[in-house]
Order: sequence, then structure tokens, then C-alpha cells
Amino acid sequence: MSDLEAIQDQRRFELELKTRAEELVQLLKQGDIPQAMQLVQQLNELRHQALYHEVGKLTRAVHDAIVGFTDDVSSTELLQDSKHHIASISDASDRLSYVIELTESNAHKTIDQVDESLQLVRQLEEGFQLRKGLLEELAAVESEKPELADLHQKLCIYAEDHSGALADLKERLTAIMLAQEYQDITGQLIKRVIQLVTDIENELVGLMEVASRVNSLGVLSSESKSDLPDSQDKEKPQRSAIEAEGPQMAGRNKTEVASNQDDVDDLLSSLGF
Amino acid sequence: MKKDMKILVVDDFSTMRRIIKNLLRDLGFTNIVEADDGATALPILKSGGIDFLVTDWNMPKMNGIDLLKHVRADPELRHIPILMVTAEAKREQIIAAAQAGVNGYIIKPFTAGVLKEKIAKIFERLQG
Repeated sequence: MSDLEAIQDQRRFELELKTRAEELVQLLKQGDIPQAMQLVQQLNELRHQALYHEVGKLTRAVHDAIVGFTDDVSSTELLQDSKHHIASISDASDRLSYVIELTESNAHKTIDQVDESLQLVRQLEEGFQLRKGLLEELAAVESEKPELADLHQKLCIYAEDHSGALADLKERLTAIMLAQEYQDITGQLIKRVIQLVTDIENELVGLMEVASRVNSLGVLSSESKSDLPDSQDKEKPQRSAIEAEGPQMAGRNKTEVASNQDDVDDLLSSLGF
Repeated sequence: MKKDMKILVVDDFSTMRRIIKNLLRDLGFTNIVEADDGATALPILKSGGIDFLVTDWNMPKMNGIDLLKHVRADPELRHIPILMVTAEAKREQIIAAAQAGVNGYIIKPFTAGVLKEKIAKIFERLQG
């Protein structure tokens, strides 16, 4: 809702209030108490109606923001170029669930690679142990053949350097694996956002139910400026009431979630918001 | 601290379970079983043979703190040392875990060194 609209609505309400108030004074002067009481009642209803409209517009704005977020995400190049199934995910919660899925599977791929690399390091270490044994044998015969001393020295340096690098490599690989724990933390955060989006959606449905119930009780008088189509009005709120009973599980049933969102959209439209 | 002791790792994220399992293996512990939350961990604990429990806090169905309380309330299980590895870092949470009888508390993200140190400390204290 734009600020301009809000101001216009406010003016309209004030103008209405002023006119009716003058009427009321007139009626009281004439001593027509029953008529005056009825006018007070109408003024009260007018105030309710203004509030009802404000809440309705707010609901619409929040709902549009959620739908807008979904459209926004699907229009990015990244997702259009990506795998087909992303395009079919129409719900914001599903997208977030997909982020968890994607980061989890990629974290596993990384750990797979680390596991295999660590296995290779272990093989190299075994080779080093083998060489170490051979060097010890060489050292034993070195005392008898001094010409081997230089060769033994060189081999020792090579072997030592090698083992240091392997230990370092092992440490780094472990660090890479440990770095994958980001997935757990981001996953937890995203799960909370999914819960929030789901809660807001459910609250919206609830709010629209209240609004439609108020509407069916006749709080909106026939003189109201509401552009409600009456025939739709009776049908839609009931439909949403049935769906609101089951809590939306984010990312579990894509078609159900999407239809729910459409229904909220329809419901809002049918009520003129 | 025996290297062949049976360790139960409980976390709802498979990535995290795998990381902890690999780190434990690096420390020489190879007898490791897994569960994805408190509700699936309890039957494993009750079937016996678990010597050490490593658990996350924030999990669906039954969270880590409830699991901790269940274990401490069960005469068959209450002796099992418990290490919590969690992203929950609020003071009151750590205090609550301590009051519920946790033996060690590691905040994610953590390092291999921290895990080694805490495990060593837990068993040092239990033996001492």
C-alpha cells in the first residue's frame, strides 16, 4: 500500500466521520434518540471497517512480499541456467530446503574426497615406514662400507622431509573436513527461516479467516465502499479453513504448498485486498 | 579410556555425524554408532553397550538436552559420560546442560584439538 493511498483512506474516513457527526448533532437537537443511537452504531461500524481494511491491506502486503520473493529468486540467471527441477520449485520454503539439500550433498562430496586423500596419505606413510626400515638396514652395513655413508645421509634427509610433508598434509585434510561443519550451522539457520516463512503463511491464512468471518457477520455495512464480490466471498474462506488445519511442512509436498499459497492469494483477492 | 569403547554420535545433520566420526577415528576410536535425534538414540542406548555419548542440542523430535535428562534419569544409563557438541552458545543453555549432568560441552564450530582435549578431560576426571 502506498503512502498516498493511506492518506486518501484516512481523509475519506475523516470526511465520513465529520458528516455523520454533524448528522448526529442534528438528530440529538431534534430529540430523535432512536435514530441517533443507530447513527452511533454506524459510526462504530465505520471505525471497525477502517481497521478491517488496514489489517487486510497489511496482510496483502506481507503475502505479496512472500510471493514476490519467490518470483524474484526464480528470475535470477543462476537458477534459470541451473538444473530443471529448480524451475519447478515455486515456494520460498522449498527453495531454502533445496539449499540445505545442496550444501549437504556437496559437503559429503568434499568429505568423500578428503577420506580418499587421507587413505592415500596413509599409503604413503606406510611406504615411509618401509623405507625407514630399509634405511636402518643400510645404517647397519654402513659401518663396514664407508662409501655408503654419503648415500645414507642423502636418503635420510629425503625421508625426513617426506614424513613432515605427509603429517602437514594430513592436518590440512582434516581441517578441510572440519570446515564442512558450516553446513550444519547454515542448515540450522535456514531451517529457522523456513519455520518463520511457514508460520507467517499460516498466520496469513488465519488472519484472512478472521477477516472473512467478520465480513460474514455483517460488520461491513451495505453502504461500505468495499468492492467485494459477494458470491466468491462465501466460498473461498471455507476452502482455506479446511487447508489451514494441516500445518504446512516446508519443502515436503511441493504441490500442496504451492496450492496453499495460491489459495491465500485467491482468498485475498476475493476479499478485495 | 579404552580405544575400543562403543561411542554413540547423535546429530540430525549427517555431515556433522560424519565429521565427528572421522575425528574420533583419528583419535583411535573405531567402535562408533550413529543416531539422528534423541528419539532414535534412546532405543540404541537402552539396548546396551554404549560407553560414551556425543550429542548435538538442537534436533527434531527429541533434542539433546531432553536426551541428556532421559539418560541421567535412567538407572541403567545414568553412568554414561555425555559430551555435548552444539551451536547453542548462550550462557543459560550451558548452565542448564551442566545442571542436567553433562560431562563436557563443545561449541560449534570447533577444532579436532578441542574434541581430543575434552574427551581426554572427561575420562581423566572419571578415573580420578
